[in-house]
Amino acid sequence: MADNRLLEQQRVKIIGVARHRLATDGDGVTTLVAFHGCPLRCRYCLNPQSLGDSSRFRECSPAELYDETRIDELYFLATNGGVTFGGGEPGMHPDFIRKFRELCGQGWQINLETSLNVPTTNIEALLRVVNTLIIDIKDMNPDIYRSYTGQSNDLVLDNLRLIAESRRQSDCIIRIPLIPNYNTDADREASRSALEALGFTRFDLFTYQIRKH
Amino acid sequence: MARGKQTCKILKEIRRQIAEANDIEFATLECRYKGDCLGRCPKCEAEVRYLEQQLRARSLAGKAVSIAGISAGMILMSGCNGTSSSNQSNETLQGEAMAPVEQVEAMDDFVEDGEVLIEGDIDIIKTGETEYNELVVGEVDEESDPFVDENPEYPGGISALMKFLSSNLKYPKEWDEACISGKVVAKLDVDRNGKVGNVEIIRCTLPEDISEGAKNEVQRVVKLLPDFIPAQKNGKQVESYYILPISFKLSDYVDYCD
Repeated sequence: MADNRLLEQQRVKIIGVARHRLATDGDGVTTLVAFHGCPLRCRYCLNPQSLGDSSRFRECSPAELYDETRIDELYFLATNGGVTFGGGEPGMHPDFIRKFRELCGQGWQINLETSLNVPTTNIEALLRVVNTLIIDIKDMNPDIYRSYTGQSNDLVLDNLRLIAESRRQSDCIIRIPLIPNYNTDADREASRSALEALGFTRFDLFTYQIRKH
Repeated sequence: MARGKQTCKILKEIRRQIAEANDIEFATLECRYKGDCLGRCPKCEAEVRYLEQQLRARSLAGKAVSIAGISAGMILMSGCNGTSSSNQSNETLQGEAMAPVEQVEAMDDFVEDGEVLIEGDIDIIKTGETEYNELVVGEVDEESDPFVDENPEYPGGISALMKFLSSNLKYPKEWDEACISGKVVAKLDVDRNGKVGNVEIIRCTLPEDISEGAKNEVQRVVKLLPDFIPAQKNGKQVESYYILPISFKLSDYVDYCD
């Protein structure tokens, strides 16, 4: 009975599973699993279906997701690929992802596309099971961050420090966007310098292209 | 090259490398799937299952099995960008490119904004055995008209509508040479007497070169529909509309994709 309750608690809302992604969410062949739910409200969010009470999701357990994704295990193993959790915010589901790692074993790469705007205990738990973190930092400047996302970046900074203390900087790829109407090239350079000071070395600088929904 | 075709080729090359590394006899031919093949057609999936079976057999026979990382160099993040970054431009790339947190909109299985929901739609499946052998599964999904109390209904219900469509829809002959799957969604105006009037194709996911034929076929068959039971509002018959999604599939890709 208690086991059943635990399993039920581990069911999460997923807005999509996309197979055979090549070079977009990590090395090798990857399957992208997008969670529903995000603590941020980014002005240019491209996945608004991951927010609010959208009915565009389904619930599934770690075992069900494992059964669904293992169809590509051969590709994962041959290419050092695996599953990338995105969203939405995957950092909100450490128990689910840890259980998934137990099921899939160490042969699959597990990547996380995260904003890091989640409790540090979540990231602490996830660091034990995740190979690569793809971090969407937005901007390190607290005012710009709040303006663009509607939230404070205190947790982001705490989690960056946690990762640095865990000496996992080399497992992180940090995306630093130029966000039209919110930050500038100089802001991006400032973000990068602050991150370099924490020991991060892998950056992806790019520009948000605004699209209408 | 279309992204789908590129994915298909890369996956095929991975399968070939796995086979070669393990002395597995493996012959794969050009996939002739029409449309955005992502390496998921039954033919491609069957090759994966075949490899798994052969690898298990080797393992049981006590032979070495080599899989881990044998194609690792093929796909690195900086080498082959998919569509997920389509709203971004990389200016300075240090490290590797990857899909951002906010960009899974282009995921293939996602419902697009503004898209008509077509869950439970009618599947028209051609087996490849008979010239016009359509099987119908699933259900018609009725998109509600929010301005009426009762939506228009096909006499005899959804199963009768499915039967009617399966009996009347025909595949254009030119489709015989291709693996085809896709959907056509039609919006039918239904007047206060239940008569089907204007028909608008509001969505078609079939490959461009055959979509016209499919749309024409749907238009043709819809015009044959008998009168609907009209929509009702406040106890009166009113004009409304009916959303009719139809999926076209070939059930036996193997015959066509090898």
